[in-house]
Amino acid sequence: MSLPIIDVETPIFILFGAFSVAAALVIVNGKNVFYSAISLGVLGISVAVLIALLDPAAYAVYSVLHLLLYVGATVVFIAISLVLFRGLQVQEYGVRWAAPIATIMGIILLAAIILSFSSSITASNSPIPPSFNLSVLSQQLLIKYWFPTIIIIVALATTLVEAITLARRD
Amino acid sequence: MILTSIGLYGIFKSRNIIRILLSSEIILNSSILFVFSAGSALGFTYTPILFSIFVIGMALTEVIVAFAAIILYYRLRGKLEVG
Repeated sequence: MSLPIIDVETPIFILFGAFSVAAALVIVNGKNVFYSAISLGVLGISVAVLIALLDPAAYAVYSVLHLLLYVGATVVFIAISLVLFRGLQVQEYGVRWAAPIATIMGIILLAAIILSFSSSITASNSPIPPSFNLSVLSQQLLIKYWFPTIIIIVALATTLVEAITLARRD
Repeated sequence: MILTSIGLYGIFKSRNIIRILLSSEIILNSSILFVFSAGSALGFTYTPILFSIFVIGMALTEVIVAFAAIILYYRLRGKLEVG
């Protein structure tokens, strides 16, 4: 007698999808900006989990990178920077046409994505992805895409200098 | 798609600079998720990872530069509302 195989990936995927939507709503509608920044961290974690669940063998490395670089650096930087605004009072004024315009733009984007997806899927034969190899990724990053890599390195170094300048200024 | 719509709603609705920046980060996350979904569906392994590494690096730079501008704006105006 064999035990039934339970698919745990789908409920986890749905759960973290719901988490990401809830975190996004808190970011947009939250009264305190600091909690919105914390919710951005929750959103980043949810997106990392969703990416890992899409293809664990291939995308797990990027999922860890997303957690370390995005959640660990960007969101923490935003949260810490908000402390600089002492006595910050956030006043929000509702804009009536925001919801319909966002809905219309969302529908247009959805239609564009569906059209592009349908044309791409019919054009390709859906090849099976090869197994992930970290050395191939490094080679592509340093040989094929060397120029964007240099740009990113220079931009991050410039950002480091800027952050030091900001921290030293009264 | 839902995340993109929520981010767009936040950008249009809010007049606080920080919340607009956070809403744009929602759209960034949704676009990264879409790239990986498309890569998984079409059988690409390395392209979404390489694309997202560059996007995340530029997003980190953009956030820090934006916050420097926001801090300067707050020192000049004493408020964070625009419009």
